[in-house]
Amino acid sequence: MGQVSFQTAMSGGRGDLQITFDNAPNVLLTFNEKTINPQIVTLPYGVNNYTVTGNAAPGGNIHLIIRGDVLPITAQDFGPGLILSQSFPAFVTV
Amino acid sequence: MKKIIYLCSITLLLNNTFLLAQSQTFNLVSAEADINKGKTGNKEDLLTKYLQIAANNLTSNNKNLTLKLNWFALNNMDSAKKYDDANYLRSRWQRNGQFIFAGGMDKDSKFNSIQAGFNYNLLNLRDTTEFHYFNYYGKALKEIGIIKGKEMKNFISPITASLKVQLDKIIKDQYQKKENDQLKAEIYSAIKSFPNHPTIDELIKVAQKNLNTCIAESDAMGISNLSANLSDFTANLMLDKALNMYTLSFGKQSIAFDFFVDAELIKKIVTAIDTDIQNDQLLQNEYKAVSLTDADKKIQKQYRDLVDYVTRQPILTFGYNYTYGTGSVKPSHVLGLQGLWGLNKIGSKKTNELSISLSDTITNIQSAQITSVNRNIGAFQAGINTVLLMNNKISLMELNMAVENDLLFTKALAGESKNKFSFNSTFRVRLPNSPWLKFTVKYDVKKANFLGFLDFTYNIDSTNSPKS
Repeated sequence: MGQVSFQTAMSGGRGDLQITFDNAPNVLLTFNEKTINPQIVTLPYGVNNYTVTGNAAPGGNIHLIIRGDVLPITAQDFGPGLILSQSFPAFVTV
Repeated sequence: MKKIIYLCSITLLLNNTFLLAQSQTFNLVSAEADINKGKTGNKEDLLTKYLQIAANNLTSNNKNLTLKLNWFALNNMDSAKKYDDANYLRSRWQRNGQFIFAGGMDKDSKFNSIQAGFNYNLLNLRDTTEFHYFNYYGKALKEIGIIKGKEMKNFISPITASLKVQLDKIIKDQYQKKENDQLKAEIYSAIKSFPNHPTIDELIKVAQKNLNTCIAESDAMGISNLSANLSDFTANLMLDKALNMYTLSFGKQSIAFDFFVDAELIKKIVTAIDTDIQNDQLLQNEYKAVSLTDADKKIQKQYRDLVDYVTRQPILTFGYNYTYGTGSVKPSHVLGLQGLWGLNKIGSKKTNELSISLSDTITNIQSAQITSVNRNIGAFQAGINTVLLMNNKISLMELNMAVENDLLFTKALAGESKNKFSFNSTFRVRLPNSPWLKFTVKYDVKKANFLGFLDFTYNIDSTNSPKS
């Protein structure tokens, strides 16, 4: 099991980002303009799909950074506006 | 000559080069279209989002050039910091304020007045960047994500297995040729659609390292499972990308990855997702969605309706304006309250706005006939502003019908009425991304005469996005 950290940086107004995990169905990470610190989730070794939904401010942006026990993932940008559900794989290394 | 300078200054201010230069300073927020859409020219006259230049009363004896500048536009902080959420939300008070500067000239094109003032929005309900839209559809989006994840798991195994067969073949070939450090090139050569991703680079490096060891140690058994993680990750990435593309294009496009993820497979998965959506209680109760695309479109419509709704929320500004004038323009102090209130509910396409204003003008007049007289005039105006023509959610034609009552609180001049009632009508029109042409007609009920004013207004946002 690896510790994976998710952190967002938002710009241009209020935003919400919600992340769910196929391999950890009870975990729900929620980010908004008040969430500054990273949130850490424990995930099993191997491929883990995470799904992102939410919205950035209409003219804004949400920058998602993933670190920890995972192979490199380029930071992702979402928005402006509505963020429909999109899934991405992450490879947990321990 | 001064008239030429006046007209040239308008042209210069509206020149694209100027606009581009100022907008590049704030290019961080590259997509403000949603914010700018739905705003009315009436609202922009009340509180500019960034910068407004207006040539007013062009057909009358006293014309002026007005510059309205949003306080936030004056914040010279580095654009990345300026729009970063912590600062952006802290500087809300700046976005609610604007400064006004104007210079006027008479019919002989002689400068005869200057003005300075400010407006401040006392309510903060119309800022589309501060509304929590997600509260309305967050649960539905989460539900869709769970359904997609479930169906992906159901369909991923054959893709992973198929990829593993291909990768194992390449690895075996490399082992037999005793090729070191050629695995990545061989994979991308053999599988044209193999995706690029930093995690894939790392997984290939690990596989390559283990392959090199197997070659060095002539360990044929060791190569049997080298592709497991790479196949697993790549299969998920391919399917994620294909479904994400399908989602973001509302079912119009997807990506094919050779024979691993093709149109037929996407169709099968989407059919399974659509069936799940049709059986999902939340998505049926709230959206009556028949498919993934239908659900996403309905949520997108809900989001857009909410943005439109927020742009119609009440705005109430308090302002002060001082005019220093000579000739027919008298020095004056004007205190004013102005309000706008959208009259339509969420989802309505109508754009009627109640427009009210209350002002008090204190001035002093002198002439050869009369000695100095102080004047205090109150004015109340109420009307309805309607968008007559919209293109891509941008207002292009508006009509404002209003009544106005002016009350003189001080002594009236000879033959002057203390109470003046008039009907006002303002018609404005423009082409997309072009200045407003605004024509105002006032009808004085008692004197039964018409007065007309022609204004020319250009609003500049902080980006190159559509102007409003």
